[in-house]
Amino acid sequence: MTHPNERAINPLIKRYKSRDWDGLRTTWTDLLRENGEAAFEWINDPDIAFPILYSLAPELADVHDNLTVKHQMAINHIFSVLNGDPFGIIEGMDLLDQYHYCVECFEWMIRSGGLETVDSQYPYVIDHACDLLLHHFHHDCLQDIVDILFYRNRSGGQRHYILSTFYNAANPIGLIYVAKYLRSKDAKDIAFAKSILSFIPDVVSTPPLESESRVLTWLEENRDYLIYTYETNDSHPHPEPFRIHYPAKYLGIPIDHTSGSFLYPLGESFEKRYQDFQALPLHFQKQLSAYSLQLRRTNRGLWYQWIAEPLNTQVTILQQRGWPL
Amino acid sequence: MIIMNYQPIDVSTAMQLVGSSERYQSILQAMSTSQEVFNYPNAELFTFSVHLRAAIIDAAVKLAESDVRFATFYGSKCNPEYWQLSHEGGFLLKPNVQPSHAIRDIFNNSRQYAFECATAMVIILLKGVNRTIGDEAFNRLYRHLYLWDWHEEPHLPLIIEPVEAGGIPGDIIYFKNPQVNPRTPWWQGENAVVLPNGRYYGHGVGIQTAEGIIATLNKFRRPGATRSAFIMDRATRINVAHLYVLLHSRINGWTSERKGTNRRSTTHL
Repeated sequence: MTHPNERAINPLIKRYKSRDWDGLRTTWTDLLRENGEAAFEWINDPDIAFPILYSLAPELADVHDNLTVKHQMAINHIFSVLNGDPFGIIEGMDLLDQYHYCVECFEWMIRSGGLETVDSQYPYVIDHACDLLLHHFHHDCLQDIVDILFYRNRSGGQRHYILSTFYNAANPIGLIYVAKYLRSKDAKDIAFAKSILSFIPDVVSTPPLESESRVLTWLEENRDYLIYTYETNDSHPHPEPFRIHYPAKYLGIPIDHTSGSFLYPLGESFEKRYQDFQALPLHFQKQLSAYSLQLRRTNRGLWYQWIAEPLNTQVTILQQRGWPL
Repeated sequence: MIIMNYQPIDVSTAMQLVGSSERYQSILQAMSTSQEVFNYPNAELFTFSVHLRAAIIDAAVKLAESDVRFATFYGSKCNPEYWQLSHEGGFLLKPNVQPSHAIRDIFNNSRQYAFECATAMVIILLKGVNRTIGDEAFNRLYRHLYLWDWHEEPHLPLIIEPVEAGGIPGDIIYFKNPQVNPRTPWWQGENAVVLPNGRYYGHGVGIQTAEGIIATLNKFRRPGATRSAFIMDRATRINVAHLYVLLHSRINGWTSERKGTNRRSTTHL
């Protein structure tokens, strides 16, 4: 699409830069009155940020058909969230195209407008977009969600639902995005990151950079063996979203984070060992699985020998090597 | 099982300590028959714990009978005489307002309030603490109240512990709706106070059986959902030993919390 003047600055973007929402509406009304065709080229500019569209939504609802598909969908989303209107899809559009337009639209809303607060209802619209993109369209936007979360925390904005969306993602990678904020210069970021990561051993009690290292090490050792607990900020004051599946870590077989099922069959010998291992006290399970992982990573040949030993022999080997049992 | 001073005690002995009431009996019966071990160093802490559970149950029933409405955090409402509404939908206690009066106002002027289910749980816990420790101690402990979600109130120490079979009366459990419809994310789950006789109070669903709450949540699943809502296996409780220390520290004029108290203590109280 060509702009009315390729070198001219979009007057809507110019007004938006000063966060003058009332002025933005006046500018739009003036543009529309002066030259309707040019006004629609400005509003359909690919560089337009979502907050501009949001602040003009009541005006744009009447001229819906003149907007790009992406902007029509964004307007539909706004009214769907705020008024409960059905989220209309574009009539006659191919199913796959609908999907791609939706993903493009929601991603644009989040990327260009996530770190913004136009009014008290605005976070509701963004939160919903994040939830739909991640959980309905299964499009990875977890890093954007974490960035919005920390922005909201810093600015005292609404963060309950977007934090739930983060937890409900059931994706341990999200913890890395949170750990990134342990490097922040803002004390609020560090405190918030620590509170989310507090279920990982020693994260709360160590200085930020050491905490970050603890998180990364813990994930490196346990990521394949984490099971999602369904705990979120909605369910518990200090949620523990993942627990280590000790039998999986001990046997070295990754699991599905959500169902906890092994990703490949155990085989006869491991099946029996799995049953016996599960009957051990938790403390033994923790130590044996930690030792097993360490040995597997440093000397796989020795690990094959060790894992074939009876459980009580394994325990004896650990005791001989000074492991606390 | 209830253990006091290293000895198991039965329900009738426990009743002699805590006093006679149907409420106490239902709590003690559930504790006594549970596989969980409820361990108390002395009769004083045991009595305090049971009385607190009973007060939490009463507060939940009272909130259920009130006109308080459910609202998402975007639509929270409070009485501006006592509370200041924050941008995130929380209630900040106004200066020069007695915390006990402000908490009571939620129950007495309930039409002026609307909040989410996690906030409701904290309000119920605080109301229970207020009745158990009295206004004077409550007003000393909770001068800087901020009610929002599961926001950590330093003088309301909470622990999360594994529970069996839907918890003990006075526990707070959570019903999870893993395939909630994205149009209604606030039905992602329901916090609920465990009441006697297999009943639960959830803010927004009222007093129901577990099956009733699960059926309600299931109505708000996405089309094609295959997983039912379910009860999660860890409950939120007040760390009674920690609260007791805080309470007596304040009464004795100590200015700071006892250091080293583990909020995730594994001792069941």
